[in-house]
Amino acid sequence: MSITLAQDNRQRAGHANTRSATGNADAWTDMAALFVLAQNGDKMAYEALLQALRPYVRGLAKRRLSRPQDIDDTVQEIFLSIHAIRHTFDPDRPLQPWINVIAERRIVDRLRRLYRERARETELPEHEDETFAADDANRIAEASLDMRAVYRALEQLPPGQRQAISLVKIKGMSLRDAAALTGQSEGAVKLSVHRAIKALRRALGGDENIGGGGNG
Amino acid sequence: MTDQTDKLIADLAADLTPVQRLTPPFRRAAIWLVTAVAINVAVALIHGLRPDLADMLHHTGYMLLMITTFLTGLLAGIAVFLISVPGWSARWALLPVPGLVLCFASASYGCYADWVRMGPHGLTLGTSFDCFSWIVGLSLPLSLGLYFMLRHGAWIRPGLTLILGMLSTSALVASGLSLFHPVETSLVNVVYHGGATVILIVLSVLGVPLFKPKQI
Repeated sequence: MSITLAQDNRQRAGHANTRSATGNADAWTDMAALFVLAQNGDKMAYEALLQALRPYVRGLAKRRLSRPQDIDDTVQEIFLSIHAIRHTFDPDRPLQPWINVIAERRIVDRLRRLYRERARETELPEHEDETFAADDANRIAEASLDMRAVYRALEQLPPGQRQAISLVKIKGMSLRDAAALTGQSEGAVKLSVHRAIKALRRALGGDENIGGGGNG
Repeated sequence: MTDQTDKLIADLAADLTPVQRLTPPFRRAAIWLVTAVAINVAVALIHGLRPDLADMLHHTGYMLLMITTFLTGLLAGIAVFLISVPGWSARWALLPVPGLVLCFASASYGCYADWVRMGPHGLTLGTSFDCFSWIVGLSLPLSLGLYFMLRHGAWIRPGLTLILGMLSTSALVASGLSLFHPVETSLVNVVYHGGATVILIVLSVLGVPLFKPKQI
């Protein structure tokens, strides 16, 4: 029975993936069916659904955002939102408007963040790399600037990510305690920490791939 | 970047648990409205119906205002449950507008009738702090009940949700008060609920944790 269901899911996912690129209405029907299975806890159907949705939400993000990094981040934020409120999807209603509203919210949030970042950026005049002549003084000043950059980057994080990294990485709480405190699952806290580290690395100009971003 | 999205999808699927689907918004609105009417009737019976109620039921202005106020509360109640679920257009927020227009028209008609009947003295504004305590007493259980029902949805439009929720509560409180409170309370009611809405919006914008809507 479960094998048949899994095969059926794979078949639906295959259909949805093939059709979603063309925006076929049947693809949305297939994806809505996968969503119902996902609401009942079918992990395979859920993974298939998110993969099938991926080109569509990416297309929505691409229309409003230009940098590939922003597009990828926004797609991931859309998926996190879908995950958080998956209980609100009503199978008697069409799936596409449900996805559109969530995607629109996340894209607008990203655009607002980008505008804020751009408004804060200022061109530095040349030859102002060093503020003091002595090396030691520069080191102290640079450390202070680094800390300020870290605080600024922390402030830029979405509230959920900021809370997660503050509890787990700054206050040193375990994932279980942080999950209990925030009312989220351990997996959700882990994901938020992972996303926060990635965002901080990007904000501070580091290589995102160093260290893998795991939080243990 | 796509590796990150693949990893996120895999993590979300691994984190998946079955969810209880949200009750459709019309049904939730019906439950809340029945509860609100029951609370209104209970408070009216505890307080005692206004002594001139039998006469007032033949008063066109009174009846029109009570019916249109209740209609506004009813439509705003339906609208707030619809717009707090993704997939329903934000245009549903306009649903209470006909009720509001009729309500203002009825109030204007009442003022005009009083003016014709009693001359300029019929329009004298008075204050009653006694009615304020009844407004608060009736409003608190209604507002809390609405909040607990709405928090299961998704705060995709927090501002609109707050405004419609307060409109629905204040209109239902006003129609309930008219059953047992002999003094016209609309102005105090509007000032109280309008003030409470502004305070809640300011607190949520400032990021005060208790008042910050759960973002998706």
